[in-house]
Amino acid sequence: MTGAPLLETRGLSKTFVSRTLRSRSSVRAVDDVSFAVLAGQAVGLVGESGSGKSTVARLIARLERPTAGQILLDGRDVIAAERHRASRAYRHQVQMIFQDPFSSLNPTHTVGYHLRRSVRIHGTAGDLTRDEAVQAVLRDVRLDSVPGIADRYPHELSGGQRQRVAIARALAARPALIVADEPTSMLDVSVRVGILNLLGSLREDRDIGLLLITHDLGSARYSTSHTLVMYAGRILESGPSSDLIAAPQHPYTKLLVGSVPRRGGVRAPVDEQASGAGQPAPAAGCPFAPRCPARLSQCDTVMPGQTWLAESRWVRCHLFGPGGSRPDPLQTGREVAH
Amino acid sequence: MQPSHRQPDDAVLEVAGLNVTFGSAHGPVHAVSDVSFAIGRGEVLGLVGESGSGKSTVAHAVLRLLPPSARCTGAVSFRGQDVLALSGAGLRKYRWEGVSLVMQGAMNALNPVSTIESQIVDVIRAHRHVSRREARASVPELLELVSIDPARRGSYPHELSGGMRQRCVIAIALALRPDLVVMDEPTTALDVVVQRSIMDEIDRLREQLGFSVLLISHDLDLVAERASRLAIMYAGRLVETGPAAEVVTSPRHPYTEALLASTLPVDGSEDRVTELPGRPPDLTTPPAGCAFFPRCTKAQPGHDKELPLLRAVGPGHEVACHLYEQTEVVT
Repeated sequence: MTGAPLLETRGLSKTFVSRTLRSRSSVRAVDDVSFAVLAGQAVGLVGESGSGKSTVARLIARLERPTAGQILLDGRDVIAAERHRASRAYRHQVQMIFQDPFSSLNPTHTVGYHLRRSVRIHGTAGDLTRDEAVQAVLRDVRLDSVPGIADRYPHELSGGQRQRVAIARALAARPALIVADEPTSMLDVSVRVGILNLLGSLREDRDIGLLLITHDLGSARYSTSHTLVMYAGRILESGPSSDLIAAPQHPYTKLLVGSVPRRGGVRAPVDEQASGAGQPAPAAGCPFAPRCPARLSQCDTVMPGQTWLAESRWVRCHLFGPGGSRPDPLQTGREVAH
Repeated sequence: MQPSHRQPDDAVLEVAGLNVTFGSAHGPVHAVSDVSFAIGRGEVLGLVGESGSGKSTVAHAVLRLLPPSARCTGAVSFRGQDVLALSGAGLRKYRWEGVSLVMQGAMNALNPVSTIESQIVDVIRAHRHVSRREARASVPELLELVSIDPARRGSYPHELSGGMRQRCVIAIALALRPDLVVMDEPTTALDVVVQRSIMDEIDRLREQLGFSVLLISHDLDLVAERASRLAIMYAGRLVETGPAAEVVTSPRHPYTEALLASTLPVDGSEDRVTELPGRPPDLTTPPAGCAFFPRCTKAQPGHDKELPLLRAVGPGHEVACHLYEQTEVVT
């Protein structure tokens, strides 16, 4: 690793508090999440719904303010610098793509309007006119062959085309990092690969960092080099995507990987108890403990630390080392994915 | 499970030459064209297609849920009974006692302001002349059947997790012990772990109770894992049908191949998967020839002139593709 990673989070946490007249309850949606994304690297964040993965995306896009922790972009602590609102410079560097390309595009405006607006706000036209800049980003997302695309409205496009427009809008800002929150889950199977390939080529050609939030392990394996597994606000396992998915270590990751349908193969046995979702996590201790088939006595009371299994591969589970020893002295005080 | 290689003799449901047309501002939309299949007793038939392929329209035609404006021709026969001719009491008996439906998105299928118990009781009392008390007496057994603690009978849908809600929907679908359950994307809104446990539950219940399933999904791998036979739909037509294991391991239709190639498996090793370019045709003006022609990598000149018909390429394996017209028919 040379220099600071493009994006780094340290102990990122978000607690949502709901208040009524009589009661006050809080949910720790994101709890002590630390990872890094390098320029030109794709990192996958996988987990089930409610695991907090979308909240991580929204924190990084600065749509939510973290309760604790730091977000560093090119080594600069952006939360400390821009306490209340992200600067335009930050928004210009970090762009987000949402799950539903219908609701993320304004139905009353044309494709051209969306893209011109992004070019204007971020001032990325350079020597080109704005219309030329719009044509350029349409070319980048391979939509230039669609006749009259700039004058069309979102409802006139297919789901895949709409998501390409959303990507074009993000690209018009010339971002260094794209946060994509389930960008293909609303799309048909046959167009998903096209969107993932497009994000992959942008990452390679322009050195854009990509944080891919997904519930689909197949997409994570295909599109990212590093995967983080999130459960109930915590990252429980982190490692190179192919290793992590081929040889999961954490009982939760094992359950997740084992539950995916296999083509023509034999179904992996899944523990009945572990399948029982929706069980409340203990206040202290591992959030997966109530469902864990390999639960130990300390799991309910002590949150396991990180155990490094290999370079850039760790797991947060009591089954691996007492209290989660951290053999790498360089990693003290912070947890970096690489 | 022994896959049945032929059209089952003891068919519970037979669909023959089904066509469904909807009216639209741009003229009639040919949503389903000439679809035929049969489901045997205790069998799971997987109907796979992408959005707009007509798979849900087939389900709605089978359940007689199409809007009155839809034109539906062909034959749907349930245990010898002409479904399309049913009306009044006959139709009411057919629905739920004969065929029930599990829909996608259990939150929307359940009434948010009444308890699970009262929704099960409603279903039973709508179809059987029993007292509220008698209907209520069967609730614990039904909930136990789908692995829900009967103590949760008084819960409202929002108090249950997504998986539990879908289990309740399945309990309601099984309340009158139908012969066929149509499941339209039963686990699409659920996480993979919950999806797996729901599908396992359905398998177990099917073995226990012996009902048949029409399993509709866009997820080819999920369906292939559970169904004995698969039917692949594209642009309102069946393009390939056959034993599930055979269709996914040696697909014949280029569309089935493309669909399999674009699914990203967890245990794959491909560095790069190529996307399927283009999009399905506009069904207000269905193409004269093969609907997949513009997107097909194996298309030959002339394939867009005539409609390919389903023909046998192996035991119980049929494909509608011009590429197989010259090949010797294996019977």
